[in-house]
Amino acid sequence: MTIARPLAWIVLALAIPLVAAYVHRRSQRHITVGSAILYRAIASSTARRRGPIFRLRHPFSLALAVAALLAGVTALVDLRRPNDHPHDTLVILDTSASMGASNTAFGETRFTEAIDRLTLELANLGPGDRAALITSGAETRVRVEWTHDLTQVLQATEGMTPSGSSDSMALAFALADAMAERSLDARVVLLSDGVGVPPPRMKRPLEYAMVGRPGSNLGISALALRELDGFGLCEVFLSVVADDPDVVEVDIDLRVDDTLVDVIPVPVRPDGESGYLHRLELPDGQRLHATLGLHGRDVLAIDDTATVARQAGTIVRVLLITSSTRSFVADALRTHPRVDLTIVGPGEPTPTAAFDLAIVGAELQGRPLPRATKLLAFGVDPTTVGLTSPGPVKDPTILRWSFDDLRFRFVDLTTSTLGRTWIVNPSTDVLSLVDSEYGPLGVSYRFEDRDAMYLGWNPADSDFVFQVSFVHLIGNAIDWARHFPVNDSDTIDAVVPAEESQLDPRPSISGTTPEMLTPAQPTSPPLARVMMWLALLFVAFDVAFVPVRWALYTAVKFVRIGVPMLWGKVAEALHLPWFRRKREHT
Amino acid sequence: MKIDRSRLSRFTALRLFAPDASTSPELGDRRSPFLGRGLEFADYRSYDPADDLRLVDWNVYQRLGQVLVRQFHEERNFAITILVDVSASMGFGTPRKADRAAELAAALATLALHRRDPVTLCTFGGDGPPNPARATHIRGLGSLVELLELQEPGGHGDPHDHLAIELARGTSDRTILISDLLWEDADRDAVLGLLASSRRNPTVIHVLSQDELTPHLEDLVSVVDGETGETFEVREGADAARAYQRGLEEWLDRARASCRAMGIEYLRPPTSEDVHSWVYGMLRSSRIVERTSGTSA
Repeated sequence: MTIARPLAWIVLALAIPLVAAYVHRRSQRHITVGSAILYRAIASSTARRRGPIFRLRHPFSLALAVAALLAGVTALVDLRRPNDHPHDTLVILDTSASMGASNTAFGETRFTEAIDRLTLELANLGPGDRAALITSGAETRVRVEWTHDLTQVLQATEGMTPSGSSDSMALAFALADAMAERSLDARVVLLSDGVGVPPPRMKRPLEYAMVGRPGSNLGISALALRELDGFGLCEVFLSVVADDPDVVEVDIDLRVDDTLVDVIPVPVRPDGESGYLHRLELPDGQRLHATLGLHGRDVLAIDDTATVARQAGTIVRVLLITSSTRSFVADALRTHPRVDLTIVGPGEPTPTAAFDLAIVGAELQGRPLPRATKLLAFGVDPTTVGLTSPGPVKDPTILRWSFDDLRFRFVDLTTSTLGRTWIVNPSTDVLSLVDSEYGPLGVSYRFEDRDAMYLGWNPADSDFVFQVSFVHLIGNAIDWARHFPVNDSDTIDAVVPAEESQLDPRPSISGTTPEMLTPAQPTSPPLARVMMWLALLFVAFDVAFVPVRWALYTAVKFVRIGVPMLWGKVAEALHLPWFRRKREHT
Repeated sequence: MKIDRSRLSRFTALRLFAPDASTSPELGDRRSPFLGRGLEFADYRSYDPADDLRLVDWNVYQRLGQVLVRQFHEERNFAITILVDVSASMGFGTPRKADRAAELAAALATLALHRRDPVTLCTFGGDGPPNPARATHIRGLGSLVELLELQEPGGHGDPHDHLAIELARGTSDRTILISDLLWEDADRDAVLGLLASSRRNPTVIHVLSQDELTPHLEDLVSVVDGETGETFEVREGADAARAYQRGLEEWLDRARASCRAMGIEYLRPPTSEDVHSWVYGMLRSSRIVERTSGTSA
C-alpha cells in the first residue's frame, strides 16, 4: 500500500473546496415568504451562475461527490490488502548447487519447490502487473526484464539446473536494486534456501521466501587434487562436512572414469568438517569422482558426489631471488615436477626474461623486480615490494589465516614459530591473508600490474620449513602461477563449495523480511478498479440526479393520475359497468 | 389561529367609538338617524290610523284640535363588521400575522359585544368560501372566538370575490379589514374600492410581521412565494437591503395612499407591541375605540 502519489493528494485536495463550497452553499438560504411582492425590489435581474459548485442541491449530492473523490484517491493510491499483489514483482531465484538438494522423500528438490513458489507468485499477479527474474548461481544475470508476459518468466526457468555457489548473490542483489529503480512499487522476492546467501544491501526491502526443509546433512564439501610428481602420482584432499551428531565414519568411493580405484573410510567429526588426504596415481586429463554412501537423513544429496580432474598444467617458469642457492625454498621448488627454476643469488643481476612467478626471498639491493605475472615475497622489507610497514616483530602469534584460499590449501600455521616477522600496514588496497596480534603479516595485493602475495617471515628463519605445510605452500604458489586450459575450469566448480553443504540450523538472512506466500487467490478485479468504477457511478448518478428525480416524479404522477384517467377512458369506451355506476354516482 | 381567551376580559373597559349615528337594526344606546321610540323628543307628525295612541300628544289636540303624534330619536347599537384575512401569507411571521389578527379581532368583538354592539366576523382569503359569524350579545363571543380558533391561514382565494359576497349581506356602522394587504396593487385597490363603496367607516388594519419589515437578507439566495409558489433569486449585499427598504416604503405608501384616496382609515400597528397595547394605544388614539367613560359624538 502506498500513498506516495502526488496526484492522489491533489485529487484529495479537491475535496476541500468542494466541502467548503457546500458549507458555503448550505449557509445560503432559500426561504419561503408570505408573499414575494415585497422581495421583488431586490429580485436579481440575472440568473446566478450554474457552475458545478452551485449544483450542490442536497447533502446526498455532496456525499456522492466526496465519495467519488475518495474513490478516485483510493484508486490512485491503490490501497491494497496486505495479501494483494503489487504492480511489479522482481524475483531473485537462487540457482546455486544447494538448490538441487533433495527436498522431500519423493525426490523433489529445493529448486523444483522454488519453481513452484515462483509459479504461485506469478499466479497472484493481476492483469497489467509486471514481473522480472534474476537468477544467481553458476551464472548470475537478469533472465527476464520487466515484462507483462508472465509466462515468459516461467519459460526462462525451463531446463535450468542448480549449479555453482551463492558467492555472486551480492551481484544479484545489486542487479535487483538497479531494476527496482525503474519501477514505482516493485516488490523484490528472494526464492532461496538461504545457504551461503550474504545479507543483502539493497535500497528496497527484500522479501525472503525460503524453500527447502531443515534436516541433517552429510556430504563432500571439498575435493581437490594436487600433483606430487611428474609420473602421475597425485594427492587427493577430501573434506566431509556433517550436521549430524550420530555419524562416525563414512565410506567414500573414488572412481576414475567409472572405474572404482579405492574406497576410503573417512572418520567424520560430528557437527563439523573432516579432511582426509589420500594418494593415488591419476593419469593426466582423467577425472576423479568421489561418491559418498547415501545417508538416510541427508537432505543435501547433491554434495554426496564431487568430481575433479587432474589438470594438465604447463611448466611454470619461476625466478627465485635468494641469498643462498641452497635454501629450503630452492629445494622445494626443485622437487616440483612442473617448475622451470631460475635462481638469482646475491649480487647477480635480475634476468630480463619473463617469468610466471617471481619469488623474492632476499632483499633486492637496488635491483629491479623481475618481469613476472605473479609475485611472492617473504621475509623482505615490505617497502621494497610496494607495501608500508610499522616494522618487524619477534615471534608473533598467528590469530587467523585464510585457510579457504587456494594458496593456503593443506597449510596449517597453528604450530609454527615464525621468528622475526615484518608487519604490514592494513589498507583498502591489500587483502589480509594472515593476521597476528600486531597486524597483518601476510597480504594479497596488486603491485605494478602483478598479482602479489607477501608473507612477513622468512621460512628459513623459522621452523615452518620443517613442516609439510611449507611444501604445500610452495606447491600452492606454483599452482597459483600455473596456466590452466580454459575448458577445465568447470571441473573446479563441480566441487560443491563447503558453505553450500551447511544447512542446519535453518538459514536466516539478516536484512530480509519473511515473505508469506498466500495460496492462489481467485481472480478478482483489484480494489483500485472497483473504486474507480464506483467513483464514475457516483458522479454519473450525481449528474443524473435531477433527470432521475424528474423521471420518478413523472412516473408517480402517471401512476396516480394518468392510469386512472386511461382506465376511465377505456371503461367508457367499453361501457364497463364500473364506469356506468361511477358516472351515475357522480 | 391562537387566541388567549384569558386576556380578552382586559378589553371590557373599552367600547367602540361611533363617529356618527348608528344604523344597526337592533335598539341600543347609540344615537341613530332613525325617528321612532326613544327618550329624546324629535318632532311631531300627523296621526296615522295605525299609530300607537300612546304617542298622540293630547295636549296639542286639546289646544289645537289636531291629532299629532310625537316622534323621538331612536337609539340603536353600533354594528361592526370585522373581516380577517386568512390567506396563506398571514401564516408567516413570528408571531404569525394571523394570530395577531385573530387576537385583535377577538379583542374588538369582545369590547363590542360587551356593549351589545352586534359583531359580524368573517374570515376570507383562504381556499374555501368566506366564513361569517354574527353575534349580538356577549354570549355569542364564544362562537366568534371559536370560529377564529378553528381557522388556519392557508390557500390563496380571491379576496375581492370573497368580500363582495360578504359585504352584500348587510350593513354595519364600521367595517374593519385586518389583512397584510399582500396583494398585487390592482387587486388591493379593487378590494379597498369594494370596501369603501360598500360600508360606512371602512377601516384597514394593516398587519405586517417584523420579518417583512426588516428581513434578514444575509446569505439569502432565493425566495418562494408561499401563496403562489412564485420563485426568484434575489440580490445580495447591503445594496439589496437598502433596495428592499426602499421598495417596502414605496409599497406601504401606495397602500396608505389608496386608503386615503378612498376614504378608508389606514392603521398599521407596530410589530413591537402586543394586541393589548394596540387596542389601548393605536385604536384608541385613532378613535376606533374609546373608554367607557368617554362620550359619544
